[in-house]
Amino acid sequence: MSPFDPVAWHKIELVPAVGVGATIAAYVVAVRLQRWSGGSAIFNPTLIAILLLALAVKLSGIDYADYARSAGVVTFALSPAVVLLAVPLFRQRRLIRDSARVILGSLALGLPTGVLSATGIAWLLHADRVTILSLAPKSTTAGIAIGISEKIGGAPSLTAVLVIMTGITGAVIGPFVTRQMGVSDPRSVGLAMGIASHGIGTARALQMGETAGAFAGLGMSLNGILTAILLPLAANLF
Amino acid sequence: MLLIEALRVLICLCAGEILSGLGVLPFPGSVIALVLLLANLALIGEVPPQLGRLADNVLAVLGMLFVPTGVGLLAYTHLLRKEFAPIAAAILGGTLLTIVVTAFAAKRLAELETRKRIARDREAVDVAL
Repeated sequence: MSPFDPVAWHKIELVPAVGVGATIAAYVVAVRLQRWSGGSAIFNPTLIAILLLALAVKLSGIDYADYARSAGVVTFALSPAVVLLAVPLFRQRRLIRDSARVILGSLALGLPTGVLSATGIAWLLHADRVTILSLAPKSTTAGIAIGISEKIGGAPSLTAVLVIMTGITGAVIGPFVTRQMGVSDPRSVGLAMGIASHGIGTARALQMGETAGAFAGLGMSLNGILTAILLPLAANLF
Repeated sequence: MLLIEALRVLICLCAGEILSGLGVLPFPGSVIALVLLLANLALIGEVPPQLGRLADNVLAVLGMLFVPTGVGLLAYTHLLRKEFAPIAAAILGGTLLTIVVTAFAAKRLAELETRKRIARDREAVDVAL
């Protein structure tokens, strides 16, 4: 058999080791890049890994569907990972009980603001229906957002990227905006960053302090669960 | 045992996917499963150590798990280019507004809580006197 046999190479592309290996390699490079940048939110490892792989897939002429199939194990692992978010949430049950009113009140206002502001602005600017539906879960953590997007008729791939862009935006402007507002209470800063910009905002809040980080994590998880319940119900109404 | 904890997660996930897939509940299967695992932990009353370790290890690489889905944006480069302005405005404006509203709500509620606690403490002092 010739070493340039296209049929053989196409089969090799579909081997899980290739897709999974390429994904891990791109992510490791991206994580190193972020560490080297001093932990800047703009060098988000997920976004950089996506761009690296998108470039590689495009330049090599590999079909996206083939890459997605051979990296299928990684995508499968996302669902159990979302389930495991129950563990840190359960560990924080005392914190939730002690600050129930502040947490629930912030969610009651922050959750609808997150969904309606983004979809409202996109709708006013005549964005496509797919764009608006894909934007709706943008403030929730990506694993949950992808599930919501599937349920309400958005495009999961588009949602994944919009979610990361939202996270980076929140992580960059969050500390500045809350400082300008005169909000210094770490619980409030954390909740705002976690509810508006999920895991990426939470990582930034953790750099500001342990309390801010803990409340950001709580805001992220609870916002994700509640949005996953409320958005499909609201979408069913229309 | 680690495998038993992995099985616990997968059983929750199967139940969630069944409830979601059959349309019993309109929510994503993984989120239904998250709530089921939360209920399970509430029944046990603590996080089994092996489950805790599994969660810490998996969640440490959570950011990698949606990379293949994200690469699918290749199919939407046309849409992203066409709708760059509304998308950028929605993300920037939406995120800014969400941070402002949430931070304001949390701050007011935290202040209210502190004021109530002070009033309660003062009352207790009055009673004691």
